[in-house]
Amino acid sequence: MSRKGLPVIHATEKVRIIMNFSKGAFICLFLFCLSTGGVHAAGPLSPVEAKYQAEYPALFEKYSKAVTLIESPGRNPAGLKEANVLLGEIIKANLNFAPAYVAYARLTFLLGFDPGQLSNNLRPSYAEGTTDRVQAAARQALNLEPSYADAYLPIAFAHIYWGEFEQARQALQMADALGSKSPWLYLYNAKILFGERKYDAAKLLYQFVLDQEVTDKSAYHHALFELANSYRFSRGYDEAEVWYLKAIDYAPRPSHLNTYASFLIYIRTDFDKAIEVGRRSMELETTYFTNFITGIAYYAKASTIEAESGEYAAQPYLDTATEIFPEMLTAMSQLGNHRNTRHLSWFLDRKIRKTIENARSRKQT
Amino acid sequence: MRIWFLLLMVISISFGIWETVDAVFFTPGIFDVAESYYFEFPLYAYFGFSFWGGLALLFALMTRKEWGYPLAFTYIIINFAVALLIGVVNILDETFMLKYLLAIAPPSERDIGFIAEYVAAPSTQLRAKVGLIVILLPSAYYLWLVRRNREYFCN
Repeated sequence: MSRKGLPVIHATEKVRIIMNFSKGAFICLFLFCLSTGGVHAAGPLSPVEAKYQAEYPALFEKYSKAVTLIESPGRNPAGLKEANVLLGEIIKANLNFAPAYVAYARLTFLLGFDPGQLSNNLRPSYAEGTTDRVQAAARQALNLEPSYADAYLPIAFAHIYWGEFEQARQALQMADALGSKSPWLYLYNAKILFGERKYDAAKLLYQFVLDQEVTDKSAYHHALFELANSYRFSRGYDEAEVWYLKAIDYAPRPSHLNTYASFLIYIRTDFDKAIEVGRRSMELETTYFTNFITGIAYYAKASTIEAESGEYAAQPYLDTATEIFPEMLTAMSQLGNHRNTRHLSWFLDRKIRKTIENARSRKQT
Repeated sequence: MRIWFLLLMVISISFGIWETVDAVFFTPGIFDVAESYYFEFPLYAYFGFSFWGGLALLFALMTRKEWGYPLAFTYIIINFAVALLIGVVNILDETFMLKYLLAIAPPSERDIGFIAEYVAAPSTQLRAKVGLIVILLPSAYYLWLVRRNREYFCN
C-alpha cells in the first residue's frame, strides 16, 4: 500500500479509535490524527520535481517516462537508449529543466557501466570520463535548483566509485538534510559501509530499503543483490545464496549472474550449477567476463571429473572450456587464488605443461 | 511513603502523556515504523490510552476516586506490555532499532551510516537485551507500589 497516497485509510482507522472516547477527547484526538495524516500524505515526487511538473507538464511526462526506463531493474540497453533520447529532447526544449540533468547523471552511470570489465572483487568498472560527466550533470542541476536534494546522490556515487568516502558522506548528508526521499540515499550509505568493510551495518541498510515500499525497481534490485554480497563477504554463505537467487529471480542481469556463478565456483564448488548460471548469463549478453566465468566453471568441472573418472571423461568439458575461454593460464591462476578451488588449478597446470612438452617434442621432430 | 507513591505516579503519568505528544507532534515517523509491522492501529490505541488514561489517572489521584486503582493497574500493565513487546521485536528483528532511530532523528542532523553502524555494533545488541530485562524491574516495582497503596483510592 502506498501510505503516501492513501490518507483516507488512516483517517478511518483513527475514527475507529477515537469513537471510544468522550466528545472532548474526540476533538483533541482528531487534531492529533490530522497532524499525523499530513505527514503520511506526502507525494512520491520531490518538491523540485513537483514544481517542474506544474510548470512544464508535457516535458515532465517525457521525464517520467525516461525515469521509468532508467529505474527498470533489468538494465535493458534499448530502454536506456530511449531514455537518453527522451532526456536529450527535454534539455533541447528547455535548457533549465533541472530534473532532466539528475536523470541524465543516473543514466550516464548506467550507460557507462562496462560489464566486460567487472572485476572479481565485485567493483564495477565504468568507461573513462563517466564520473566526470555524472558530476557535471548533477552540478548543472544544482546550479539551476540549489535545494535539489536528489542531485547530490549521483555526486555521492561518483565519490564512492573513486573511494572518496568522506566527500560521498558529505554529499549524502546534504541530500538527507534537503529532504531526499530516494532509496539511493540509504543504498549509497550502505555502499560506503560496504567499502569500509562494515558488512553488518551495510546489511541493515540494505534490509531497511527492502522493507520499505520502494517504487524504484532498480533500487530494490540493487538492494537484493548487494545484501547477498554483504552476506557473502561476512561469510554468511547460506543467506548470500538466498539473496542472490532472489535478486536473479527479480530481474536477471548478466553481471549479477556472473557474480552468482563466481560464488558457486569459488565458495560452493558447485560447478554444474555454475555452468548453468554462466550459460544463462551468456544467453543474455556475451562479454569477456561472461566467457571468463563460464569457462572457469567448465575448467573446474573438467578437473573434478578427471580426478574421479580419468582424462577421457573430462575431455568434453575441457574442449568446451577452451572453446569458451581459451586463456587456460588465466583460468589456472583464478582457481589457484581461491582456497576451495586451489587443488583444481594443479590439473590445469599439468595440462599446460603437457601442451608445452608436446609442442617442444613436435618442434624437435 | 504515600508522597513517594504520588510522586512516582505523577512522574510516570507525565512521561506517558509526553510520550504521546512527542510521538504525534514531533516524531510522527514512528507511525511509519509501526505501519511496517502492521502495528499502526494498536499504536494509536496505545497512545490514546497513554494520553487520556494518563489524564484520567491524574484526576483520580487528585480526587482519590475508587476507579483510580484499577486504572492505575491497567495503565502500568499496558505500558509494561508495550515496552516488553518493543524489546522483543528489537531482539528478533535487527532492523527495528535502525528504523526507529532513523524515524526519530531529524534528517538535517542525522548520519545514516553512523546510525546503521551503531545499531549493528554487538555492544548495542547486548545493551538492547539487558535493557529489556532492566525495564521489567521498575514496572514490577510500580505494580507493587500501587497494590500497597490501594486504600489511597478509597476516599
